[in-house]
Amino acid sequence: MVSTTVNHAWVDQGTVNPAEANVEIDVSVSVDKTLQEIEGLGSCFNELGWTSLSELSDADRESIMQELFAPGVGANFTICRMPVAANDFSREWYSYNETDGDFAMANFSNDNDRETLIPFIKSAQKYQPDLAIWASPCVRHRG
Amino acid sequence: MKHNKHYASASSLRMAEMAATFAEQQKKEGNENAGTMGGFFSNIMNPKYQNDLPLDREGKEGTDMFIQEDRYLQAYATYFSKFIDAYRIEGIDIFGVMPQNEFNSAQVFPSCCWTAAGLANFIGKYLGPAMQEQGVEVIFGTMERRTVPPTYGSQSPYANMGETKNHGIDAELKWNSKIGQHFNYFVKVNLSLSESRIIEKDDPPATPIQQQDEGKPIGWQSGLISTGLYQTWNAVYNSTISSYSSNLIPGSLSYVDYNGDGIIDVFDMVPIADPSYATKTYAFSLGFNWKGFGVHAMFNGMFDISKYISDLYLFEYTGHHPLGFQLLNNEQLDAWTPTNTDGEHPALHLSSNNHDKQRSTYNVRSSAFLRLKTLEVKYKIGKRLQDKIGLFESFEVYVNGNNLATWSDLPDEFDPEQSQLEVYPITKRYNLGLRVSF
Repeated sequence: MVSTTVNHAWVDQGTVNPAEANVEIDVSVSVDKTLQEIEGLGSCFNELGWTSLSELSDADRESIMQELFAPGVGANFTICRMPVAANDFSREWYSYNETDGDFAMANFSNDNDRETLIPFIKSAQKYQPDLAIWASPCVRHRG
Repeated sequence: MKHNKHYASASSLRMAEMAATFAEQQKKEGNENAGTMGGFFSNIMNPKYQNDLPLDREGKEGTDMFIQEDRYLQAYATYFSKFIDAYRIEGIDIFGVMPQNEFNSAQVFPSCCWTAAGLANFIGKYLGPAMQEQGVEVIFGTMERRTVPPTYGSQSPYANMGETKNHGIDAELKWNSKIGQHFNYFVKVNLSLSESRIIEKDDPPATPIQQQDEGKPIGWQSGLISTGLYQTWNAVYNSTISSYSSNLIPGSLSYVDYNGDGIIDVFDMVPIADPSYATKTYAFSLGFNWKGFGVHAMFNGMFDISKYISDLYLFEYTGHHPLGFQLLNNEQLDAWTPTNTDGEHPALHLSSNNHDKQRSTYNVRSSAFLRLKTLEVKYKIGKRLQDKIGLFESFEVYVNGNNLATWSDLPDEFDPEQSQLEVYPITKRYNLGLRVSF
C-alpha cells in the first residue's frame, strides 16, 4: 500500500494482508455460478485526463498508459468510453458544430478533440490496438 | 453566427428546447443576437447560469428538453454520424453510442432530459437507422435512479424524498385517594404507543418484497432466520451451502434458505425484528404516605423493540480496541460441544467465523423490559417532636435507589434501555440522605 498525505507523497506502507472480514458482507460473489460474461473493463477518456497526463514527462506518461492499457501489465483496460463533445471533465463547454441553422451539419468539426481526446485515445491504442470505444453525450456538471 | 464559444450550446443540440427559452428571454432582455432558431447553435449559455441556473430553467425529469421536431432530431442523428466519420478518419473506430448519458437526470445546470417516448422516437426513427448505416451499436445507456442499486458503485446525492407516516397515542391515568385520616395513596399509569410506515421509497427494481423498505416500519431490521444449531455432521452435510463459510461444523448456526436458491446469502435476509428504537413505552408509579412515613416507586418499560448484540460481545476472537472495555459473555460458557448439545452459544472456534456472525434472529433479540426505576422510602419526623426540638422547620430521612431491578430477555450484562447495547453496564445507585430545612 502506498499513501499520500499533504506532506508526504507516495509513502510505501508495506504489504497489507487481507484479513478475514468480521463485519457483515456487502457483496458475495458466487464463483461457481456464472451468470454473465464480463466483456472487459475500462474507463472514460476525458479532456482533463489528458491535460493532466500532459503535465508529466513523456516517460512517466508512457509508463502510466502502459500500465492502464498494455495487455498483462496492469489494469488491462479493453473497453472505454468517451464523451460526444463537452462533458463534466472537459476543458470548456463545446460542441462539434457551433453554426446557427446548420441542420445538414456541413460545418461539423472535431478539431477541438485533436488537442485532447484524439491524442489520448491514440496513446492508449498504442498499447491496446483492439481497444473498444463507445461514446455518449453528457452534461457538464458543476466544476 | 458564432458567439462566445466558452458558453456555447453545451455539447450539442441537446439543449435546443432550453435554448428556445433562453433566446426568448434574451430577446426580452434586448439581446438582438439571440438566434431565431431558438439558440440552436447560439449563445444560450450565459456564464452566470453555468452554476446557478434559475429554478424555472432547470430541467425536469419526465420531460423532453430536446425539441421534438423532425428536422432537429434528424440533425442530431446526422451529428452522431459525422462524429463517427470524423473519428474513423483519425483511425478510431467507435463501436457504439449512447443517445444521452442518464437521460432522466435533471440537474441544476444545463442538462438534457428525455422522456422514454421521446427517446424511443429518436432512436427508432433517427439515431437507430443512422447508426445501422454506420455499423455502430446503439446502447440504451445509463439511467439515473433517485436511489441507486449497489451495482451503481457509488452513492446517489442526498435529497429529501420518499414519504413516511407516524402515528400513535398517549394515555395517562391517575388515581389519588385516602383511606381513613392518615393514609394517602396514589397510582399513576401512562402508556405511549406509536407506529411508523415507509409509504413511498424508490426501492431498486427487482428488490424482493421482503427486502424492500416501502411498506415496512422505519428502522425495520433485516437478517437471516436462524433455526438453531446443527447437531450432527449428517445435519451439516445435508445443510444448505453458506456463502459465509465453507467450514461449517456441528454447532454452527443453521439458517433458512428463504428464497430457496440453494445458498445462504444476503438474499435470504428478511424482516426479523422490531425497530431498535422505542415505539411502545409505559410507566407506572405508585406510592403512599402514612403519617410521616412515605414510600414511592416508579417502574418503566418498553415492548416491541429489538436490538443487535454486537460481535464483540457475542463471539470469541473478535477484534477489539485494547483500551475499550468488554462485557463478559456468560453465554459462551454454555457453548455447543458434542457433549453439551443443548448449548445456547454456537460451537466455539479458534478464529473469527463469519457464518455465525451474520445478522440473524440469533444476534438481533428482543430488548423488551420492565424496570424498577426508582424506589424511595422516607420518614418525616412528627410535628410534635419537631416543635419540641424547635430547631428545624422540617426534617426528613430518606433512602432511595435507581435501577434496582430489570426484567428482560437480554443477558443481564446489558442495559436494555440504552440505544446501543455495547455500553457500560447498568449502574444501580443507592442514596441515603436527609432533607432538612430551618
